[in-house]
Amino acid sequence: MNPHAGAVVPAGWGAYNGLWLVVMAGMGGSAVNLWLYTGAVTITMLFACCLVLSRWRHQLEASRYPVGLRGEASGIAAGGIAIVGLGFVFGAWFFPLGGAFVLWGTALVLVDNRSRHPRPS
Amino acid sequence: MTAITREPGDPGDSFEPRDVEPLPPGEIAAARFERDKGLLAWVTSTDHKRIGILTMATSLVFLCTFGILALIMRTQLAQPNGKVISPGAYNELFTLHGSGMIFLVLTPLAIGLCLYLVPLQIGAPMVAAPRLCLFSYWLYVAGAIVFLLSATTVTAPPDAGWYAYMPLSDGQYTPGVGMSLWILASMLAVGAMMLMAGAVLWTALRMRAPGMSLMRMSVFTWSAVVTCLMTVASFPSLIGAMGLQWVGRVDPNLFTHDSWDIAYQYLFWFYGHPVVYVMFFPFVGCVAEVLAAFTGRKYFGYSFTVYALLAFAAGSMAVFGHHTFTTGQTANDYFSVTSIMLSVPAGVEYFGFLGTLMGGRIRATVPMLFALAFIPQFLIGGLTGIMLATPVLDYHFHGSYFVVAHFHYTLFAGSLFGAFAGLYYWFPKATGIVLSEPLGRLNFVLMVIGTNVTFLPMFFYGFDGLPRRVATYPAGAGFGTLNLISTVGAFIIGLSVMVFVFNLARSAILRRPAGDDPWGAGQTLEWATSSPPPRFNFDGAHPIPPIKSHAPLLDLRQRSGASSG
Amino acid sequence: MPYRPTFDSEFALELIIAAVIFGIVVLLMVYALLQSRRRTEPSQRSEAKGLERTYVLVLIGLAGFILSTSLISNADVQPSRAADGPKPLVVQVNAFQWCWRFTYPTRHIVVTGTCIQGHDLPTLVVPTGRPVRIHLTSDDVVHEWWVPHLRYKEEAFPNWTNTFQFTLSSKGDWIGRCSEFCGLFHSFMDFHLEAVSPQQYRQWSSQHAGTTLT
Repeated sequence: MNPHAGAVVPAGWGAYNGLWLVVMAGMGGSAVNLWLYTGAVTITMLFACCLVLSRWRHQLEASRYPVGLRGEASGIAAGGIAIVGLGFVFGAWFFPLGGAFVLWGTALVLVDNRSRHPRPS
Repeated sequence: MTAITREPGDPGDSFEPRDVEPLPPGEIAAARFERDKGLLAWVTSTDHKRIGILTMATSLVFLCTFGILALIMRTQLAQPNGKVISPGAYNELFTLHGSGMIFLVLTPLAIGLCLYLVPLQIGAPMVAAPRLCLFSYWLYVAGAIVFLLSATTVTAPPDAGWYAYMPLSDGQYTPGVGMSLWILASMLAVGAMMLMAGAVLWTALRMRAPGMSLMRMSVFTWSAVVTCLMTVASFPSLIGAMGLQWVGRVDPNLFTHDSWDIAYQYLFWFYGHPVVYVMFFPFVGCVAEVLAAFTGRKYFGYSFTVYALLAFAAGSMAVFGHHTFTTGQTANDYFSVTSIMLSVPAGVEYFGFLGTLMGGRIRATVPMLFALAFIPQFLIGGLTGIMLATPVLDYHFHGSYFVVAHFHYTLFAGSLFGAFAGLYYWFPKATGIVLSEPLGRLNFVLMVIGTNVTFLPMFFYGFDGLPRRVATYPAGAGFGTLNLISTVGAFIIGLSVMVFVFNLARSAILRRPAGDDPWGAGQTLEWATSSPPPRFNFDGAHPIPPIKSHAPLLDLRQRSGASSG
Repeated sequence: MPYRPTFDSEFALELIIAAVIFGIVVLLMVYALLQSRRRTEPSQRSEAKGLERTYVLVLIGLAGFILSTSLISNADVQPSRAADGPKPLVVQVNAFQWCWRFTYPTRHIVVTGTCIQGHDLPTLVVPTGRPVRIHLTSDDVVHEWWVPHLRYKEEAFPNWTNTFQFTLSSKGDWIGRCSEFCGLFHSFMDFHLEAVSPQQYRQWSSQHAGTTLT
C-alpha cells in the first residue's frame, strides 16, 4: 500500500475541479464565481497537503492511540461558541460569558492531553 | 482544519495490533472506558459510534418536527383560498420546514451516518479527532436550540425562505431578532457538519486497516469520502454568505448595490447545490450496500462507480449557477453544460445498481424494498433535473411547484428512501436488536404510496403556473383538485412515519437480540464485529478479517463454501 | 424564436428521452426480479469493463446531444436574435412589495395596482404582432416576473435592469405572477398580460396618454 495514497484523493479531486474552473473562466463566469471556486479548490488542496504532512510527522508514533477523553470539554466549548454567537444578536455582554466557557473547555482538553491515553488492547 | 491535523498519532496503514503498548498500571483511562452506562456517559462519549447515533437520532427527531410543519402547510393548501393559517404564518412555516430539513435533518443524518459507519467499514478502531466530532455534535445541538429559539420569537420568526435572498432578509425588510437568530443557527449547524465531515474524511484517508487500500473501500465509504470532500470544500461558502447577511442586518445600506445582492446568491448556491448532494450521496451508498447484500453478490461495476462518485461530486461544485438562470446575470451556458454533464456519472451509478440486480438472487427484505423503490423514484428526480438544467425550460419552471416536485423526488423519494434502507439495514448492527419486518413492510408500502401521491401532482400544477411559496391560490385556476391529492398523500407519509416510530418503540421494548450478522448477508467489515460493536470496533473475539476486495466478508463466505463443497 | 415554441420543442424532446430512459430502467428492474426467481446462485461476475466503457461513451454522447440542444435553444431566445422586425414597444416594469407598475415611456402612461388579496391587479396591455421589450427592475427586494403562458420568467433585482423581449401573435388575457418569494403578500402579487389588436392598442394608448391607471 502506498502510504500517500490517501492524499491522492483530495489532490486529484481538487485538480479535476481546477479543470472545470478553467472552463468556467473560458465561458464567462463572473469574478465572484471564479473566486468562490478557486477558494474551494484551495481548501481541498490544503487538506491534501495536511494529509501528506501528518503522514510525514507521525510515521513513527503511528501505533499510539491518544483516545480523546474528557468529552464534556467538547460540549462546554460548543456551548461557549453558541453563547458568543448570541452576543452578536443580543449584545456584547455575552462575549465574556461565552469566552469563559470556551476557555474552560480548552483547559480540560489541554489537561487531558498531558496524560496521553493509549488504547487498551 | 488545524484542529484536525493537531490530533497526533493515528494508526495509519502501518498499524499493527502488536504495536499497542499495554496500559500503564494505575492509568485511569481503562476505568473511564468502562464507564459507559447512563445518559451523561452517552452524551460525553468520544466513541464515534455514539456520536454518530446521537447525531442521527437528533436529526430524526427534527425530521418528525419539521415534517409536522409540512402537514400544516399541506392542510392550508388543500383548498383554494385556504384560511387555516395566515400568509405570514405560512411564510414562517415553509422557512422553518425548508431550512430545518436541510440544516438540521438531512445533512446531520448524512454526516452522522458517515461518522458511524466509516471507521467500522475501514477497520479503524476510532475516528480521527473524536473530541472534535463530539464538539461538532454539540455545536449542531446548539444550532438547533438557537433555531428553535428563533422559531419561537413571537414578534418576528424568520420568514425569508431557506435561501433568504438579500435584500429581503436584511435589517430593513425583515427586522427583528428572529432572522438574526436564524442566521446564527445556520452558521452553527453548518459549521458543525463541516468539522465533522473533515474528521470523517481524515479517518477514511488516513486510518484504514492493513490491507484496506483505497480501491478496497466499500461503496458506502467511498460515497462518504466524496460527501465529506464536498462538505469541506463548499460549506465555508455558507458561513461567508451568512456573514454577509449579518452585515446586511446591521447595515442594510450594503444592499443598495446590485453586486452584493447577486454575490449573496452565488455564495449561497455555492453551498446550496453541493449540500443537496451531501444530503444524497451517503444514501446512494446505503442503496448500493443494500443491493449488494440482498442480491448476494459483489457490487457490480465497483471501480466505475467509485470514479463516477468522484466525478459527480467534483461536478456538483461547478453547477451552482443553474439556480440563478433567471437572474440575467449568470453565464447560463456554462452552468447548463456542467449540470447536464452530471447525467454521465449519474448514469454510471445506475449501471451499478442495475448490474448488481440483474445477476443477483434478490431477497425482498425491508431495506431491499426501500433500495428498490429508490431506483425509479430518484430517477424521476434526476431526469427532471436535466430539464431544470436546460435554461429555456428553467425560464418556465424556476420558482414553480415543478421545482418543488423535483427536489422532493430527489431528497424525499431518493435520499430519504436510501436513508430508510440504511436505517433498517444497520439498525440491528448499531443497537443489537432487530426491527419488525412486517411493520417495516407496512412502513414501506405507506411511504411509497404517500410519496408519489404527494409529489407527483406537484409537477403538473407547477407546469400549469403555480409558484412555490404561495400561502394560497385562487379558485378556478385548476389547482384545487391536484393540491387536495398532494395533501392526502402528505398525511399518508405522516402515517408511514408513525408506523416507523412505533416499530422503533416496539423493538426497544421487546429487545429481540440480533446476531453479529442478522441478515446473513453482510459483505463489509462492520458485519464481522459484534452488534453493537465494542468500544474500539474490533477486539480479540472479533478480529478484522483478511481484506482482499471491497467485499471481504463475501470473500470469506465464498471461500468457506468452496472448501466445504 | 419566441419563448413558448422553443420551450415546447425542447420540453417534448427531453420528455421523450426521459420517458424512454425511465422505461428502460423499469424494464431492466422487472427483468432482474424475474431472473432472480430462476436463479439458485448469484452471478460471480463483478466487472464488465468493455461494456462499461461503451456505456460511458454512449452516456457522454447522449449528454452531449441534450446539452447541444440546450445551448442552441438558449441562443434562439436571446433578444439579439429576436431584434429584427418592427420597432419594439418598450415597457418599463417595476416590481415592488407587493404589486407591479408598468410604465410606457413614449406615451407617459403608468399602470399600477395594489394586488390586495388578489384583487386590483394591474394589466400590462400590449399590441399583437409587435415585439414588446421589457425593462425589468425592482423598487425594493428581488421579485420575479412570470407569465406561465409565455413560458418565460425573469428576476427583478433592485438597482439592476434586466431586458427581454417577446411577441404575442394572438389576442388574449393571461395571468402573470411573482415567482420569487418577496415577503408577506407574495402569494397575491399577480398581474394580467393582455394582448389587443394594434388598432385597439393605439386607441387605448392615446386615450390614456399621460395618465396613471390604478
